[in-house]
Amino acid sequence: MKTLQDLQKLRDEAKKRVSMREGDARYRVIVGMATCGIAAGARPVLNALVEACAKEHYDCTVTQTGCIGMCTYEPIIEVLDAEGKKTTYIHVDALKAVEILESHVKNGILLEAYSLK
Amino acid sequence: MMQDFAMHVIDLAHNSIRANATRLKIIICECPSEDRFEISLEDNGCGMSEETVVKARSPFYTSRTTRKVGMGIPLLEGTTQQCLGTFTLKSQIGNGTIIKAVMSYQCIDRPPLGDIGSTIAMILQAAPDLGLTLEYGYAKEMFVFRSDEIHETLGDEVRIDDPTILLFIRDYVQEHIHALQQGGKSEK
Repeated sequence: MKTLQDLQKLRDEAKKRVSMREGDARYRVIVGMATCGIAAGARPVLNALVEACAKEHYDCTVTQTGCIGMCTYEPIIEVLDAEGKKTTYIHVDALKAVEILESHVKNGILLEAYSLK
Repeated sequence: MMQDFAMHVIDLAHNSIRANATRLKIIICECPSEDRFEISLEDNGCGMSEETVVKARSPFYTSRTTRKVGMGIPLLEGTTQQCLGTFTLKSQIGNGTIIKAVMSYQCIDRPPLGDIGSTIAMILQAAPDLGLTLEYGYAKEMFVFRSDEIHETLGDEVRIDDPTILLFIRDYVQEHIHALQQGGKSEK
């Protein structure tokens, strides 16, 4: 079972990483986490995003927002790049979320198949 | 429809965050021998007027502008009633809000508790500075999680919403809950 001692080890590892990285992340990934999003399965999506970011250290921050106003398209994630351009991905699940990170955030290629037209 | 209580909790926690709460206490109590299952959330957010407390229980009320329905509270109230329980919502402007749902543990319609570890981690991801306490009880055993403890260990240099730290919190909480559930079940 994990203890707070394990947390100290993680803290020291994270410290090293933080000192290596400079400036803000290139992308912001935003997940809609209102009642509509959660009911449609946004939590596993967010979980998968956080997990993938912990493993791969993508150049992005993951944040949550409330209702985006398109409840029928939930779960929704929005990817904002450094220039402020927004891409909205709809009906996302945990697998698609990781694919989006890999393609859009890591390689800079938009995934048109999952994005809102 | 929410699949489990962990989803209700993360949903309602977002209400507290939007109400500018700095402290949120989540109490979960599973007591099979007394046929009791309890979830409550207490925050110190902006609170609601008496009038709003009544309206908040209607699915057609919300303080948002992006849509015209507000389902969070009514969904939990519905689930509670379906499980032969009682639902209370107390609030006072300036004094925060208390939501409490007590229901039958054994009721066949009661959804499972779900992944509370993920819920706690995701609440802290949304509001890293929130003073979050989880009190989880199973039968007579109790596990307490305090985000303050995590902040103390991390110090100033590492943020609580660092992905590796969030995953630790998720597993730490979930493992402790699981251990209590297993312990409680094997005693019988």
